[in-house]
Amino acid sequence: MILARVEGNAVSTIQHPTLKGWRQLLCQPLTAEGEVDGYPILAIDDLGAGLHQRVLISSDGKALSQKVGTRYTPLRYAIIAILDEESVA
Amino acid sequence: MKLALVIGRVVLNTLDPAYKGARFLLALPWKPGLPEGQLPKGNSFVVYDKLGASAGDLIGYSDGGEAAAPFAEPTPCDAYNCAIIDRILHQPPETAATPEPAVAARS
Repeated sequence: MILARVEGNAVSTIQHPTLKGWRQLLCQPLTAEGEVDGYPILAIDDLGAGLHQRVLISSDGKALSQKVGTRYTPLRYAIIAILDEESVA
Repeated sequence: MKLALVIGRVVLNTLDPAYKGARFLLALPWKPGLPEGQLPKGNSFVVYDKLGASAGDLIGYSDGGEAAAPFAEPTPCDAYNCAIIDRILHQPPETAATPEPAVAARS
């Protein structure tokens, strides 16, 4: 799973049908210390993660195809947890 | 989905029959915050496209195994265009006070 911070969202009208109705949040992956780590990714979200909240993104397409309901979905990233706070041991 | 900026198209005349009716886009990995008009750095790659994106569009694509999932029969594909992004809002927390969101609207 990827630790990331929500930094925006995206709107698209022409999209794959399985994306219909899903919020697309722009998430910036973070390192454990909280620095920016790589390119931002678009993850679908049904938990209602807010701006600048830290979230966990699952990159497992199989689990997501159950969430979306069909096997024929190209989606991969989904927000599965919103972090309250975390401490680096 | 990952973000990419479409910079062109790839035209092929001999195709695997599984690709019937598809187009191939040439795209660069994109991230917000680039100065206007400057192409992002990175290797360009080819994305399978059924939505009709064209040069200059911002797309959300998926790579890896999930890119081959939407096909009925097994098809070799590792980059699939899932969405043509109309508007993307990027508002990192560092730009404190009143952050002016970088909105890349569809030109």
